[in-house]
Amino acid sequence: MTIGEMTAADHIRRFVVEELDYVGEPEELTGDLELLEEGVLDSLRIMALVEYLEAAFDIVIDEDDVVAERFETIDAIAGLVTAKQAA
Amino acid sequence: MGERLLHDLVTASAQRDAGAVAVVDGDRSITYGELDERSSRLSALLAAAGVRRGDRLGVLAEKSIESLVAIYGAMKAGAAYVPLDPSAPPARTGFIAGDCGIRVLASPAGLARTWAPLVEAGAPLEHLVALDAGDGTGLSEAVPAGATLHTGDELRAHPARVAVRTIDDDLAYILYTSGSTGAPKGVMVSHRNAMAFAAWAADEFDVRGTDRVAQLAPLIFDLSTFDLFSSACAGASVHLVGRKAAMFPAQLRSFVDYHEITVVYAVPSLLTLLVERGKLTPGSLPSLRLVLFAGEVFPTRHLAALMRLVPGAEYANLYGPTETNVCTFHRVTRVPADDDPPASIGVAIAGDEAIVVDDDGRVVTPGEPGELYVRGATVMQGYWGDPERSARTLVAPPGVSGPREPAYRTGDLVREEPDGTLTFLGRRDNQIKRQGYRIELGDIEATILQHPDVVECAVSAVPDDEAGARLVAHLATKNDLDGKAVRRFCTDRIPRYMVPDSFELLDALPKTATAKIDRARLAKQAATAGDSHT
Repeated sequence: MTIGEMTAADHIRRFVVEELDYVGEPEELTGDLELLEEGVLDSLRIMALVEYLEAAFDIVIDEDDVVAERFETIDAIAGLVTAKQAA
Repeated sequence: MGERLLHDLVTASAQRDAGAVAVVDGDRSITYGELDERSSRLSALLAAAGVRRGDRLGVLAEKSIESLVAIYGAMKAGAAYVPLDPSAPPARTGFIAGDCGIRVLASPAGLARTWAPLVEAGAPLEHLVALDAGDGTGLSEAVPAGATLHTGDELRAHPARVAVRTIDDDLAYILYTSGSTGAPKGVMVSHRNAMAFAAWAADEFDVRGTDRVAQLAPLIFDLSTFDLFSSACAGASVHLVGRKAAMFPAQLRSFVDYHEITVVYAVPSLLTLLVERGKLTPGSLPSLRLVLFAGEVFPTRHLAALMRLVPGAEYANLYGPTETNVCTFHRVTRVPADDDPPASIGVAIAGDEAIVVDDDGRVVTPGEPGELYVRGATVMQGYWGDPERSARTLVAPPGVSGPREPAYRTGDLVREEPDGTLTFLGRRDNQIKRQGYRIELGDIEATILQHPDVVECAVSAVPDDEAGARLVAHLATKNDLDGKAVRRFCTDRIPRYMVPDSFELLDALPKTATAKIDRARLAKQAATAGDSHT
């Protein structure tokens, strides 16, 4: 699969599985899984994810955008990426 | 302040000013009068459910108004509260509940799905108290067979009763910490122990009714005892910071500003995140008057940065393992240089005594390194159900004559400086700190070694500026067992903060000349390896 065919959500999912030590089955990592409730993300993983998003999507994520509601789910994070790309 | 029991602090604060805000939980709050009343009703409900003096009440909940009602209700019923981590695997929580015989559990309806797995894991649950469940509709399926559900409606119908008579030597709470053999151990703290710290801190740091204290640490952490009980001493308001909000520095900054928080007590890794990612500018967080930190070494440059950015606050380093709660402290009065050594752990708090002892059990001369023994009012009663371990760590105090209250062996190496203050030098054993959590590497190793396809295992801790430590598991396995499977094995059994960050597969672990696993070599490899192997 080339980069162009993957959506932002796919990239985020891949990063969570491969780099953030996701322990569940990849197919359980749906767009609406509660990442913070389920313990998939913690403070340090969030920082790693922000750095990845900035580099992979060539965007700048202000610290003020790094809040719980933006990182609740893969879909929410993908929404943040889309908003930043449009900005 | 003449109170000797923790729950009497709430009653006394309610008598002084019933309308004063006790707890703020999101957009809800409760006054001291209401907290006193509701916890008294709960103690009556608990008594009716068979809770007796000396029992344990489990509190399996995120922090909330209901959690605090449960904590005070338990103590008013003569029981000790045992906070349980809702994000920990059921196997571990079930073990704890079985270990200290938790028959009654306070837990919100939102966690109902975790109740049955707890029973399967060994929790002897007979009563569940879900204070947020109105009449319990929809919960009957979640209640394990043989257990009775008690709800918020039932609480409202229960008349309050006076607290069961207890004395200050009765247990107030039990906190479970990482043990070295794969099983957590329960630190028993009496009202006298807890009060000695809470009252000292309220006095030393001049906590007042006008203070607004952020409650950051999880309830399973002894830092929370300052937030709850020192605040209750003074009638200050406690502002609960949820687990999620504490993960986001910018959100934490907004929280402090919005609630005009005056006091925070946090682990350094959280304050480091706030400094690094909280977008603070000089003069930020003007409401803060006091910043207390404990649980691990605060990297000096981050402490210095925080002190420059928030110059209006006072700063103090509090030291002490769970077994002693805070036993020494040091006020940081001027901004250190970035390359200064970490903050001193200072001097013993009022009522405690610090003794530095060599390997032969003799008190060292000042300036010589040794193990810190602590004696005094804050020192725990022992480990629950483990008199042997208690006797190993609570020992006759060296160099003290007369009545001999035991001293606790901390396992921490310290040195007394010429000015009488103590410098923390490190650990005697394989215990480390990570995001403020105390972890025995042997606990993780024992867990991994339970896997039938793990042949050998050692865990190294690599110092990490932000997290405190990064954990690397070195493994020799058979039957093609890979790191990913071992990681999953761990997350089913131990809390996330104990799960290694990376798993390194080796044909065999290196050995020393005496055929022991060469931990020093593995630790060195892990430190130089850089990126993780998952």
